[in-house]
Amino acid sequence: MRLKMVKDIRYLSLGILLIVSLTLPFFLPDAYVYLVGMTFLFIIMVVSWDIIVGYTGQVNLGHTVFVGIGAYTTALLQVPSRFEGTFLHFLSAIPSPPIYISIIMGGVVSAFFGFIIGVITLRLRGYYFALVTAVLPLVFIQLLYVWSDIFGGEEGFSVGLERALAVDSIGKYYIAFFTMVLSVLIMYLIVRSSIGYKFRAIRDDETLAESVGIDTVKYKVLSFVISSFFAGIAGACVVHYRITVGPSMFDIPLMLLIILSAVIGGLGTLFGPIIGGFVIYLMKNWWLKGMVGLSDVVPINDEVILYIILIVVAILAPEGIWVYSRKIIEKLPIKFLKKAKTT
Amino acid sequence: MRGKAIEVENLESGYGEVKILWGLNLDVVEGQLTTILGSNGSGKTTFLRTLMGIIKPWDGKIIFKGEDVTNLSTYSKAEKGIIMVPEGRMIFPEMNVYENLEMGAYTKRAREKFEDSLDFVISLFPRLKERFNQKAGTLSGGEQQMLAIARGLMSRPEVLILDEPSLGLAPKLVLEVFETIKKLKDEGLTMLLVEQNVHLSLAITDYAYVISEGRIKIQGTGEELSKSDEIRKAYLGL
Ligand SMILES: Nc1ncnc2c1ncn2[C@@H]1O[C@H](COP(=O)(O)OP(=O)(O)OP(=O)(O)O)[C@@H](O)[C@H]1O
Ligand SMILES: [Mg+2]
Repeated sequence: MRLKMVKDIRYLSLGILLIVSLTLPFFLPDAYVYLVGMTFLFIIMVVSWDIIVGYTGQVNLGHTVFVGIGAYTTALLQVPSRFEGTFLHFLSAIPSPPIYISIIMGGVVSAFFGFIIGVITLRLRGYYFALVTAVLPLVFIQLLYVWSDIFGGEEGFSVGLERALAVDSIGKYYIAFFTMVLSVLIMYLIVRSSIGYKFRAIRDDETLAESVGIDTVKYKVLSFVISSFFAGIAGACVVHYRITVGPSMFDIPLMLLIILSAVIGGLGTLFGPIIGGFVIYLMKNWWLKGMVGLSDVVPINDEVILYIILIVVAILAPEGIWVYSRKIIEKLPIKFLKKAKTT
Repeated sequence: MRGKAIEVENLESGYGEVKILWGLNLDVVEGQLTTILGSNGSGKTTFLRTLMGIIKPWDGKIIFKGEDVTNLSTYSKAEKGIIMVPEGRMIFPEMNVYENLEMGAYTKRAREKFEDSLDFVISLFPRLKERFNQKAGTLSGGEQQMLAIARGLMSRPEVLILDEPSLGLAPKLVLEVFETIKKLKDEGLTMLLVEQNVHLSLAITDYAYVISEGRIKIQGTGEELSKSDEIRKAYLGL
């Protein structure tokens, strides 16, 4: 009965979220509509990170690289002229596909790199995967600078206004929203399926998973490919959302923000990272904006506050706010019942 | 004459540069209970890990029902029905009891017989049924061991391998575990048991090996080993 209540509350809050999200652009100033739309894309990054880390237990510190691969893939597909005069000049003749195909290609190319890196690194257990993925962002950013003719170096490049997701913020907002809903829904169905069980078994105990007959390497790679695919989709959408692509969009700070959101929301819960992603991204880019240099005496800025939140959550609700609030909901009926008895 | 389920020839392995197994020879006969005895650190678990392919054999051969499976991966061996319940009550702690049993029946050949296996396992461990929805990590030590064995049985093993199933259990539960093993043996299940509890093991086993420093030092039927004072003193510390 309590379980049902948790479910009811989950669907209820999801329903409210859906209605709020759909009507928000009518209340909010344009600049904030733009920001909340970006938040939806960020949520895809957090949830896809949760697939490989939270569900499968493989620590991926290079998730932003896959976001970036998706981003540059679509950007270069849309602006193939960037290849002109480089050693890859023959690529400049490729005709640009429609934007939505281009975004999907971003996911596919990202998944492909995930597959290659996964096959090499996930054969071994332990810290190997974490180490390799931790180095990836350095290599990736370096390559962007080395081939700056193509990738645009530090400034990156623009894909042009005409290749935006939509003409105005509200249009972009809804496209971002539905992309997020679709992506999260697919990932939800995956983790709820028998494949999700295998991921969780590997996370719980790899040797044991192998002993019951699971090809753990295969499923670790599969998890990584799925995770990279949606990271790529998110990255590609960001490009058409902001109309530009550049290395700063995929750097260490973004990785930290993803980790923060997933951990605070609750690893391996899918819903937790959605909430975490939403709250943390808006905090960082809206509610805490202007905190920088607030005081000369106390060194408090937005980052410090985010880390304080992380520490508080780690102490009070180490499994994340999602599991924490679920536990509170589960306890509620008992309290009510007790009250009803005593009065 | 019964066939051999597993034949191990001159098996060698270890960790890094350190050799732990120095050429092990051992047979598991179909329908029998075979036991490996030995003191702490003698290489029992290392042997089982090598047998399962969790660590790679350095040399030697593993034959399963006449087929060379020396270099097969662990999951392929599980698919063939070589099922191990690892040391230390290994369960999936974040999954509930029922999900753990489902994971046990992961392979295709086990999944087809899921309902049958479940009935059998519940008849063996009725207590598990009351706890289907409980997170396995919150079970008591004894219950976790029951679950681990139950999960092994859900896999429909051709050979069930148990690594110290009585370790760390209260005396009453130890007896229960051995009674269960005896029952399974009477059902005709082929088993390979690693134990430190010499008395109880020798009382129910068909055949036993004593391992020391990575080598088989002595072997014989349960009866033979129980009787030999010298063996007991030298290798079993009794
Ligand atoms: N992962 C490992 N890395 C390095 N050495 C190991 C490892 N595991 C075990 N060893 C060593 O291998 C030797 C044999 O260990 P093993 O676990 O096989 O013993 P055991 O007979 O199972 O003992 P116990 O009865 O205590 O379980 C020991 O000396 C141990 O220190
Ligand atoms: Mg051992």
